[in-house]
Amino acid sequence: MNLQDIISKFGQYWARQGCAVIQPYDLEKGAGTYNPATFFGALTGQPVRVAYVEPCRRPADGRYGDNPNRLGKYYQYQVIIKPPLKDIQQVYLNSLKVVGIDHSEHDIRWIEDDWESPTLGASGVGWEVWLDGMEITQFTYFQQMASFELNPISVEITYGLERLAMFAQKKKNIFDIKWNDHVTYGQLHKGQEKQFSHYNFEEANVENLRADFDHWEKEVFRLAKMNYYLPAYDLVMKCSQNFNLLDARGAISVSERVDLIKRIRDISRVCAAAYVKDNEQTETSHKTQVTGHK
Amino acid sequence: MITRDALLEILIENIPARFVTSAGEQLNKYASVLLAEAGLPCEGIEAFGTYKRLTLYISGVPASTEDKIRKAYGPASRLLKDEKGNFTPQAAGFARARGTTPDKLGVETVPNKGEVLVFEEKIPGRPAAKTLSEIFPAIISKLQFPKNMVWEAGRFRFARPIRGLLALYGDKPVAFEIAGVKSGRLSVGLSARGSRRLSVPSAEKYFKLLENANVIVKDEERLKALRAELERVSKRMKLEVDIDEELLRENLYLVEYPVCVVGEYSQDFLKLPAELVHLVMKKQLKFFTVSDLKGRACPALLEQSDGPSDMGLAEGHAVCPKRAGLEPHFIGIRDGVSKGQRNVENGFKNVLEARFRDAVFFYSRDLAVPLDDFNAKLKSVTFQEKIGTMYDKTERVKKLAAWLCDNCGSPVNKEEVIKASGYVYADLVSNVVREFTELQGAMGYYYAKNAGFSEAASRAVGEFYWPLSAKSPLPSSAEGALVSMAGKLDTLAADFALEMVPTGSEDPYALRRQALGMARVILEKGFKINLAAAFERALELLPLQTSGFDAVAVKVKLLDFTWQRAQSIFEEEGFKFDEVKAVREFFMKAGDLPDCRARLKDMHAFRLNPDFAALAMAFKRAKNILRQSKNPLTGFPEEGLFEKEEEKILYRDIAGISGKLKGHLANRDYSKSLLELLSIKGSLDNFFEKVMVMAEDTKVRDNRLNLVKSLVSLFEDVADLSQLQ
Repeated sequence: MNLQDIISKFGQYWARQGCAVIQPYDLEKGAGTYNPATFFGALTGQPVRVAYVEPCRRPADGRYGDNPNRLGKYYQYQVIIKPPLKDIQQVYLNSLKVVGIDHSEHDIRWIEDDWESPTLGASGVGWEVWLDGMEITQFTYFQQMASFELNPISVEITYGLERLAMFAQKKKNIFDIKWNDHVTYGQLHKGQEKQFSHYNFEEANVENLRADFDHWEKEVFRLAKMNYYLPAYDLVMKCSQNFNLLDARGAISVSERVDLIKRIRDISRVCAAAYVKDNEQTETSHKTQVTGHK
Repeated sequence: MITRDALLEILIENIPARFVTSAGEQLNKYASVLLAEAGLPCEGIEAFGTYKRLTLYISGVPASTEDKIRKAYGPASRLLKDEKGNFTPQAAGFARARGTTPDKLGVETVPNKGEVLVFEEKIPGRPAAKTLSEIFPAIISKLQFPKNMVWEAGRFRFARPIRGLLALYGDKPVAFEIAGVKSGRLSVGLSARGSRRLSVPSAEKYFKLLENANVIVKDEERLKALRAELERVSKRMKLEVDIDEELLRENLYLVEYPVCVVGEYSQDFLKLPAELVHLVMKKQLKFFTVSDLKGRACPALLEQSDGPSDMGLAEGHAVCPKRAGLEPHFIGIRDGVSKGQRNVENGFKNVLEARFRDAVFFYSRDLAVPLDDFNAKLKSVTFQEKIGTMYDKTERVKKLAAWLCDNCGSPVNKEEVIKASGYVYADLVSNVVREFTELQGAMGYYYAKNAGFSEAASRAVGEFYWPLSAKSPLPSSAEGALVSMAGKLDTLAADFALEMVPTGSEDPYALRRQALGMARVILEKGFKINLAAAFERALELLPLQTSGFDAVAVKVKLLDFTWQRAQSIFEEEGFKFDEVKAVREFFMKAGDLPDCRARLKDMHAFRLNPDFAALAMAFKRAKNILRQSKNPLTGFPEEGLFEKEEEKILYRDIAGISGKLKGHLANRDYSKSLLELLSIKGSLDNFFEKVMVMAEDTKVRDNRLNLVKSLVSLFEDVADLSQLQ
């Protein structure tokens, strides 16, 4: 099955489960969890069902397009469901069936792996899902986001699209994956991998990265105070990307790393707090209308 | 009495393998407690678990709980009837309040109250199903896990989401609800077959029904099936599967019905250290390694390790494969089905080879790094904040190792010891150890060899952390043993100086294991090391930032801590608790463990002598008398002050043996020493019988006390016999 078919099959499948199939968010990020649909979506009481493809950038993982298993940018397929369905595990396993993976013909294991994002102040309990030994999915029940205890809980399902495609197409090299019948993954991405590896490891301007980080960080506080937590959160994502670039450039010492992570966690918390407060007000006024009480 | 079996099955989303055993034990424990509290008897309680179900099986449960008698006490019995023989208003009132009539009241004597009226109410038993419907949810709520989560609206906390509850008493459903799940009679089959719903007609039919659905619920049966599977594969391949018990247990809880998948990988990867191959397979993929039937073919680290290897279960340190004659095969365990074996085998192989390629990448990069460059990197690795880096630690270990060479009482190759001790932590900053921390030490061996070290010196580096557990092998050479001791001495001294002393079950730096390892090294290698001096040296070497500590007090704590470990060794060797106590002081002074053991051995043998107990008693008596003295004593009595014949004889006897005794002690011949002591038993008995030590005349008294003191010090050079029971 071509990679683009896997994406569209997932889209159809999760749409049938009631998900809004949305588009990627147009900023660099390290994981689909950073997408505002997940970050804000997990925070409040309303039910959420969303699915989307998310390109993820991990500057330090780039290998100039030379390594058959490593990429500096790759695609996740992300599903967020709140509250979790009671048969969510089976629903997930059925999603594999639609992309041609029949459980009875393969070994599927759930290996304990409690996910954590120190920059987002987020953590959850869950598994890596192994398909014949290969990790294809991270499956997590969020417990905390931006240091808030969550209620209700969201379940996050993150598929590694390249891994699934390699598996389905029996390829040993990522760049040999067929995107469709005519174009390979390599044709579409190898140039990017090469150029961005040079940029990430050698050319990104460390001073500018730091200066932008400092400047955006200040803006987050200013904007959040005015309750513009959405643009504020965009800047959190950008800070996180700069942090990853600085890391790839080898510019961060051990103690500075701890400090920068804390700074990102703090600004994401500021955005989350503004959003939660805003939401409580809307929810209360909504309830007041429904019940007719003042 | 007709009984039925009761069943509780908790269906959960994949619970981590490491949680299951304890969950089973808890199910069992709480079931027995709560059943007893409810008065519901049973013939047996068993608990089982897989990754998706925890099962509690209670056999032989009667249809209802036992009848109970509830007693209510009323007014004094004389108030039952008045003179005319009629029930009094008090009696009637008491009866009415209990819903009965006065003629049903009895009389009982109650302490402090005398005879009072009593009403015995019979409470009939409750139906078992009803009682179980309260007990089951109570048990579930009590289960504790290393980590919990929430997932549903009620915010019930459990290891993983509960997705089904099967609860039966015989064929009757036991109804309850917990975590938003209602109990019923449904179980589920194998995941690989789509987790089909299974309706369970009765508790008694549960195991059979699940077995037919390819689920082996009982852990022990599943383990047997897993072993049989591995055995079958082993025979077919004519190769030996390395049964790592820890890995076996983990796989046991990753499948409900074990099916082996056998595959081959490229021979090239066998160039990797065997420990690394084993760990990549075990840790990253849960695969078993395979060896040729001869085994032990490769010159790897463990070749010479003695005895059966339990190193796979060591506490978080280097895991060494049982055999190094690795063959390029792997065995993975699948859950339940054998369809598509080829798919799975190929998948497993691809992933394994990708992991091996990473390992090759790390390992070859490490081999290109000079050992001194690794050491230089240790300058940025903290050991303990106040005590500096691992580089500093290396320097101290080197000095301690040199000191040990000069003070261990055995001839050793000092040059090799110093060389090895300078690189014991080098591998910590290697790529392989950063990826696989369990391989610390083991990788050091390969890097040392690669740097041109002798086999002996490399081995000393490789076995630095040995012994890895209470029973696992010691470093193979005397040189290696000293290097490993130096590391342990430094860690113990540093952590104790920082007051990071283990308490209760808290021992994050495994100091108990290190002290035990040190004691074993000394005793089994027979080093004549003064541990008191060794700890002094180790404490001296600590940097000045920690000078806040009291070196003498810390040393005493360290000796005491080490003694507690040595004590367990001695008791395991068959020495009695009181015997061990009798030699403790020698250790606290001279820190010489082999000497303590020599004393123990001779004393232990000597206890069979019928006169020995009496001798020990006499000594105890002498010691007690000394306690009564108020004046300081010299221990040198004056012959002229003796009044009685018995004291003169004792004095002469003591003088007669003390020279010989010194000679025996110098030879560490405690058997002969004890014989000498025994030789004066007669005069000692006579002395106590005929001579009053606490005489009126102070001069006479003090002189006698001095005589007793000289006797006591004679004994005390051999053992503190007053500790013997």
